[in-house]
Amino acid sequence: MIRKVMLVDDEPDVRLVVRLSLERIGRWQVCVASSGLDALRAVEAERPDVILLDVMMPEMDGPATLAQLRENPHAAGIPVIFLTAKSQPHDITRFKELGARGVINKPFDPLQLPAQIQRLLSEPVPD
Amino acid sequence: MTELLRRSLFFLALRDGIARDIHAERPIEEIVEHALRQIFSAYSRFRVTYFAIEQSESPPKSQPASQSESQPASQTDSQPEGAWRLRAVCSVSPPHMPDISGLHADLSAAPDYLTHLRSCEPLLIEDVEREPIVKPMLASLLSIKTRAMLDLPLLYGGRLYGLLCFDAAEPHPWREDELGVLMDLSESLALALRSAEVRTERARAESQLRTTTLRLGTLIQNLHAGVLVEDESRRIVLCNEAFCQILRIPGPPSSLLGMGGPEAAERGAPLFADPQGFLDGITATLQARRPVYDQELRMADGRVLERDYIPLFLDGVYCGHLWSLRDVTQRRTVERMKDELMSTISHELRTPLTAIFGVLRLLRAGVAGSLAPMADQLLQTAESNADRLVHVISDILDLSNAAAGRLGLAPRGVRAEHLLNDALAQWQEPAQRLGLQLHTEVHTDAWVLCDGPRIVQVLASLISNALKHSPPGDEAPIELRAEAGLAGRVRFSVTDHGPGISVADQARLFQRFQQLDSSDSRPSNGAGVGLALAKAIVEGHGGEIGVRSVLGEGATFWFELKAASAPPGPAEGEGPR
Repeated sequence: MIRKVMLVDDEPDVRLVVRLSLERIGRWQVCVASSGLDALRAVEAERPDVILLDVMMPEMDGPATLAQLRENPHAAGIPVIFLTAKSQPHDITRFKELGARGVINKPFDPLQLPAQIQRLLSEPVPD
Repeated sequence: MTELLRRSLFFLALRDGIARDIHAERPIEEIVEHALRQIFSAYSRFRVTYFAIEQSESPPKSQPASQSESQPASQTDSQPEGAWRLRAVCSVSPPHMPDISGLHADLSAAPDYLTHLRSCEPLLIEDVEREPIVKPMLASLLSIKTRAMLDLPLLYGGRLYGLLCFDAAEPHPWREDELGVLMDLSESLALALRSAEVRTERARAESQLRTTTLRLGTLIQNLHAGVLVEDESRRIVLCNEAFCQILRIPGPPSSLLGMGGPEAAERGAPLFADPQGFLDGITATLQARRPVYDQELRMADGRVLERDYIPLFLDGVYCGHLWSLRDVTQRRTVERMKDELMSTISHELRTPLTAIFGVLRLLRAGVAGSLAPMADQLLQTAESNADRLVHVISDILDLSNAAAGRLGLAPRGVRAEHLLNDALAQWQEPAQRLGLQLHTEVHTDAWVLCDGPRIVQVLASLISNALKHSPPGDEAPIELRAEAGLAGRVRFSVTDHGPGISVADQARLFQRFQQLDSSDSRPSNGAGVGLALAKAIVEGHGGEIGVRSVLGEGATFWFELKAASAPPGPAEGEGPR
């Protein structure tokens, strides 16, 4: 059961679209971080049910942020879905190897985004 | 009788001498001159001459056709037709007869003599003044004091090499015993002429071989690729400069010649990132003895090499092998940079498109309140064009990956019907908006081992193409079919009722960035990559794609994939998604 989603993306316009989609279509609470470092700082306080993580961000990119989250015992269990414009097959394989629960390509359909997130979270977690 | 015996022994010795000269490969001019002088010493009353037979390139127009009909088959094969003439190459004369060395005799004026010459039979004339066959040449013969003549053809293996001629200044009845020894001698001279010809041919072949070897050697030495050839016992027999440079071998390539291949490999192994793997790879490759191309080798200094192995067989017998090395470090760097560039472009284009596309979708969904019909229509136009742009970017990236062999196909077992239904689900609504119908027909329950989403992408591309080229509101539905194909394959097809495609355009339809021009019966838009990508995906599955169309009668795009025994694993139950 998803109640709150943390969105980590450095692009304000993308954050606007995702927030509107999750709030209006998904009826979920959304907390927003504009960088990996912001997300690491806020994650314990926010305790989201899932994190949507952009890949290409300045200072700390998505994979590095994921690695840091996995080292934080309070955040290690939170599923992370990459939201990315880097959609080459080898990128997607690498993200899954890093421990992402799934990958959603940009651009996405905001009307379908909540359903996509739910579907990815309902898939069995690989060993 | 004693004289006859003495002469017979003399000529036997002479023939033996000619045989020894042939064996010693003495120049033919010397052999002939020596033989003629020896003969003359035995028959000093006669002028002894060796005539070469020469022919001009084309036959004279006046030459009757009947002459060539009487020509022996052996000559027809080996000697071209043309004007015949005799040239006295060497001649030894008694004091009362003139020396005729270098004399030319054109035979076109003496057809009967020529006919006889071509019959390759000896010609014995006791008195030229009474012999009709030489009547046209009589004045010439008398001018060189010839009254009697004996012409012996120098014939070997059916080929006429010339004439050995004896002539006398007085009429002379040629005796059987003279004819016998001289004919034996003419055989020896013909053999000498043939041997000289063989030597000339061999020298020419050797010269050609040397030239070819020089050319190939120059080519190999100047190749950018390193080349090393080992014989069947792994001795190095050839190596070029590039090979030494790539493997940082000091000294010229010749320093490796004769060295054992295993020893050279042991010495070079530390240069490789995995020295033992390098040596094991050589052993395995040599055992398999099958060509291997583009095998990647990583060097300890970070360079990347590609290696080919080509076993060499002569008449089916293994006689060594060739290694070829190329330093592809720079190429790999460029490829990586291209990948990074494509990835960056993708990111830079997709990020703003995410905002544009997302905002348009949300507005049309009423997130910011209800819209006036005109506003909705305008937003729909913007949305469909943003969507188109997204697909173009995806297709270009996919095509770039396909060209590099990195489509990343993940085959799973999928029912043919599910593939068709998934593609249908994507395009049902857009088709309805255009007033068009999609109709599916499934005549197979086969499974296909494929990357489901990619094959749906192909089907979607073909459906999109069909919608684009169907007249809006057309009542005839676009047909989507899945059925059994040839040789255990499943055939998918999409048939439209558009204007059709000319044969010339069909040939370039699947090429990259091909847009049929505006005068064509099939106007199009887009980047011209959809069908090229469909081809790459289908061929990436080992399948085949094509089109069948007649102008004015629509088009059927089809592709075939190998059917899998149901259900192949890992299988999915409900479709590719």
